[in-house]
Amino acid sequence: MTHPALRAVLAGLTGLEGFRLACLADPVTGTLVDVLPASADPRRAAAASAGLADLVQAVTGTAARLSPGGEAQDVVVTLTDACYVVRLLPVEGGDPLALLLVVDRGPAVLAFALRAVRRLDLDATAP
Amino acid sequence: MTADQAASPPAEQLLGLAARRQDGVLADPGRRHEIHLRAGRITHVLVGGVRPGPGPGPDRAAGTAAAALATREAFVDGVRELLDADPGAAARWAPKRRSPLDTAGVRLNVPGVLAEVGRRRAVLERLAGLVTADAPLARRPELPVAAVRITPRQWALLALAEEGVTPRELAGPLGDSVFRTVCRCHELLRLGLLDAPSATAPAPGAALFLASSD
Repeated sequence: MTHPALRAVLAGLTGLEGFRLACLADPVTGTLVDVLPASADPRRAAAASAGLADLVQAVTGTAARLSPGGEAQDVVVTLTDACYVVRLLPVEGGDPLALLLVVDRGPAVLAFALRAVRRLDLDATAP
Repeated sequence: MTADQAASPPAEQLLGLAARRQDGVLADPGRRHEIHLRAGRITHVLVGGVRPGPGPGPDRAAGTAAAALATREAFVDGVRELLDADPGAAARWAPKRRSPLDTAGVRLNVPGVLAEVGRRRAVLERLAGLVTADAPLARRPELPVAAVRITPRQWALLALAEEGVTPRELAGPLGDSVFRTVCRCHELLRLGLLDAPSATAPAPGAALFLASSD
């Protein structure tokens, strides 16, 4: 059961060049909220949401101490063949969700991916 | 992570009923725990006769993503609490009993819920030496650093964390599940804002969730 607004957030990313995987997770509990493609291996999806929650907790915990006046918004991890873009998406009336977008590494792909996830904030709070 | 991790007589019953796409209520009459099924999917959960968690409230208007997430969290953790309450006992199945509490739109997949229950048990095992649902906690009187940023919901938990309070006791007033409150307490323990006087182990390493998903 996924709320249509949350499914729409992920669906909007699947057309990006080099798209591999997108998942939403609760960063407090590590619970997978949704993943695309829906055919993703459940163990791979679980590893994505668990790793995403651990990453967000490490970053937000560090930022809470080092930059108490700021707020963590996104994280980019560059691998030799892929890029991970992590974004905290505000949810009106609830805690933020964490988004992980995995795309191929290639010219301009990261810039388009980052621009796409930074536009998602308002969509994620839509009823 | 598989549904096998949640294996127990009631979990096996639940999997069988889901596979046969049954309608009805799986109940433990003694404790008034109930899982309501429609076409083999979970539509409602009662723990101790009450719906777990607060459900949609004024800040979680019905139909919003926040309300859907809160309902799902309450039901998944309600199933975990129910299965862990008396894992050796078989539950009673009341076929065709129509749930008066059917929650519009909620149709949770049983194998997926049981897999998540198994994952949560593994996370709780990793946290057991530091914090459990029933471990007493206390707010630390002094900040361990000059300044630290916390979220409004972390602040809400700290405000309620009088000496000796447990995550289970905090969950209701916070409007969160027991599991989520334990995880939240772990965040605040790592930040040094809570104390766990009964802790026997340090906080688990950075990979709390990933280590439990294998």
